[in-house]
This record gives sequence, structure tokens and C-alpha cells, in this order.
Amino acid sequence: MADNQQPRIVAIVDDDARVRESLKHLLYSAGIETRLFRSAEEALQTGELGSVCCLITDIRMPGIDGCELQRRVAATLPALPVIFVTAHPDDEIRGHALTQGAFAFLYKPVDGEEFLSTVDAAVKWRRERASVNCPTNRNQGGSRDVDR
Amino acid sequence: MLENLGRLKGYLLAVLVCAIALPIAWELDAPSSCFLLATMVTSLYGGRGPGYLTVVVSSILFDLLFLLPRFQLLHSHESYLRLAIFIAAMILATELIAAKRRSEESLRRTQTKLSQAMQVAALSEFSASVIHEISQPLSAMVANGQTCVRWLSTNPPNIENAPAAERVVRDGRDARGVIQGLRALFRRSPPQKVLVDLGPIVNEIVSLIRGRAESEKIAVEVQLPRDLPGIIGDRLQLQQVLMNLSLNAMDSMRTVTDRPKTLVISMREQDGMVLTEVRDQGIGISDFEKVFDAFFTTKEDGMGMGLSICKSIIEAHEGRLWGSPGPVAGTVFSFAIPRAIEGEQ
Repeated sequence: MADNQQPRIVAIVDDDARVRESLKHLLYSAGIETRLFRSAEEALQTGELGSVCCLITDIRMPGIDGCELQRRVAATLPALPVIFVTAHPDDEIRGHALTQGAFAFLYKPVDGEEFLSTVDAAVKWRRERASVNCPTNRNQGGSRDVDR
Repeated sequence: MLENLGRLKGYLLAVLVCAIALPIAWELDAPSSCFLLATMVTSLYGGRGPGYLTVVVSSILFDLLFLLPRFQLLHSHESYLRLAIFIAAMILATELIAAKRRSEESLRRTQTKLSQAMQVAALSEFSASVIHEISQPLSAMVANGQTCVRWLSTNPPNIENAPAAERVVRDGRDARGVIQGLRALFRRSPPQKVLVDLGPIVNEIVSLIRGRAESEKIAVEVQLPRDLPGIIGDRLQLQQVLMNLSLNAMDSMRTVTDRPKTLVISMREQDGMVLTEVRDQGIGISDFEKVFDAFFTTKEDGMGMGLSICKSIIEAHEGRLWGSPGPVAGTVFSFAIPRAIEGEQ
């Protein structure tokens, strides 16, 4: 595929080690690299979010929660798509997250294929936006039509 | 039907109380106090209706038997005033008592409703926690399983990534752990009842945690009197409780750097109970009520089952488990279990 030319890196923020690890391997099997963070604080502190093309986060975490993370990321990196993966079925939070510009909102346990296609779409969407801002980049296509 | 019976009982009470009050009033020549007392007793135990019945019966008896001249329906102006005040006092007593009863009943009803509402809230919170705890490993299982399928469906199959299958098994075990924790929490079977000496259990725990304590620079201290009485209980379960409290204590000191890290396990007899205290110098706990809730945790990798299981175990031993802030810093978790009585087994 055309968008395999650059490394695709996504950030995963989840306080559960098993979830982080399993998503890492799943994404790796699709050729996507990952940066893992145990908490929102850790993700914000390292400053690595600037170099990833998608942010995957849980909602309920100790310390800063997923919604607050999304808000802070939106302030500094508005073009970074955020995908929520949570175990808590809460329509209010879901609605709030989506109106705040979340790319997708998935419930645990997530279906691996659905997850991969969502991440793929998010990465494409991100590149599309980057190419609009920076005309030297080739337009790599893709549309933001997943889970909205 | 039952309600009618209750009401009938009230009225019978009214009649009975009047019948008892009458000879006493006659004997002492103190009708006002005796009948007023009768009214109050009836209103208190029978309610408003029987109270009024007593008022009526007492007024008639008072009027016929005690107002001078006796056995005449017509009396002097002054006598009517006495009668009126007497009746007013009785009505007031009935009303006051009835009002108090009503407010108590409504309070009780409100409390019942409130406790039901709280139970529903606790249940929904608990279910949310269970859903969360089981979805985490399940989520990992699905992702690991699909990773496995993806690697195996390449041509040729990529066997190198087979550890994904092992992770599926591991996560499945984790999910089973959650379910076992839940089972332990709700298990109704009583613990094994044998004579247990807590001293050796403490020493076992200390030898188990010594390695970790050394690497984390935690000083472990045991204060154990020689003549500590035994208790009747389940050795394994008590070991589990003590282990859990000790590990929690060590976890709480992980980030402490400004003071010596010590873990003190002490035991003593107090008021017929064997009291065990596990003291740490850790970060402390802000809400000692909440820590015993299932799935409440302050730890990243914690499931929040430990203390709630400990509590249910100690309660099954007719004991009590509680937490309190340490004297300087940290936390003290204590549990008290009744000591074994001589000859009991």
C-alpha cells in the first residue's frame, strides 16, 4: 500500500498492561508500530505524541482520564486522531468524546479487525490532513468514514 | 386481615387499660392522673383511634363517677370546666403521641427506601466494575487471538509469532482469576474450623516476603508475644489475609523516599480477641470506607479484590477488619478474631 512508505506509529494509553501488550502485537501484525503509555501523564510528559499518527486511549484511568487527555492533545496537536477504547458503556461520555472530535469510540472487548480498520482509517485521515497543511506531501487518499 | 386484627387489638387495649385505671383512680381518688396515664399508654401502643376511645371512655367515667355530686348528669359550672380541661389534656396527649408515631413511621419508610436505593446503586456500580475487570483480559484475549490468526494466515504461516497464543491462555487465566475472586467474595461455605496458631503463619509470610523486602529496602519487624492464644479458623484463608495486607503495605511504600520504610506485623491478645496489626510507612489512604469495596484499587495493576476478600474472610471468622491512619505516616490495617476457648476444637 502507498502509505506503508513512512513508518506508521500509534500511541496506546491504557492502564492495563495486558490491553497495551495485546494491542501492540495486533498492530504489529498489521505493520504498525506502537508507543505504549501506562497513563495520560506519561504520554503527555514524554512529548512523543508529536511523532505519532494516531492516539488510542482508555477513558477510565488513574490520574488524568481519557477525555481530559483528548482535550489537552486537541489543544496542542489538533490534527492527531484520537480513538477511544473503553470497557464502560457510557453514551454520555461517548457523545461528549465524539463532539470533541474523537475519531472513533470502541468498546472492549474490541474486535481486532474492526480495530485495525479503524486505526488504518485514522492514520489515513491524519495523513490527508497533514498533506492539506503541507502541500509537498503527496495526497495519499483515504476517507474518514469509520465509526462516525 | 392482619391490619384489622392489629386495630382490634388496639381497641381491646383501650378498654383493658380503662378497666385497670378505674379501680386505681377510685382507690386513690386521683382520676385525672390515672385516666391521663391510661390515654397516654393506649395512644403510645395502640395508636390514635384507641387513644380517642380511651378519651371518650375516661371522660364518661370521670363525669359519672368522680364529679361531685356523684351519679348525676348535671353538675356545677366549675365541674364542667374541670371536665373540659381533663378532656383537652387527654386529646392533646393522644395527638402528640400519634404525631410522634407517624413521624417515626415515615422516617422508617424513608430509611427503607433509601437503603433500597443505595443497594441498587451499589449493585450497579459493582456490575460496572465486574464488566470492566472481565473486559480487560477478554479484550486482550480477542486481540491476541486475532494477532495469532493473522500470523498463521500468512503464506507461509509465521510460526515465530506463536507466543500470541500463549498470551491468549495467560489472559484467559487472568479472567479466571477475576471470576475466582468473585467466587471467593460470595462463597457461602463457612471456613474450615480448626485450631490455628497465628504465630507460625506470620513467620511463613515474613519468609515469603523477605526477598522482596530486601530488594526494596523495607525493614520487616514482627512483634509476637510468646503466649499468644490460638484461634479457631481456616489456616489458608488467614494466611491469604495476612499475605494480602503485607503485600499492600509494601506496595504503599514503593514510592516513599523521605523516611525509613518499615513493615511491622504485631499480634496481641485484647479483650478475648487476638488482634493483629499490619503497619506501614507508605503513602496512606484517604478513604478507609472505600478500600473495602470490591474492585476499589489505588494500584495500577491491582484488581481491587484483595481487601474486600480479606474482609469477608475475617467476618466469616466472626472477626473484624479495619484500617486507620498510622501514628506518624502510613496506614495500619488491623483485624481481631475471637480467641479459641480452652477445650474447644
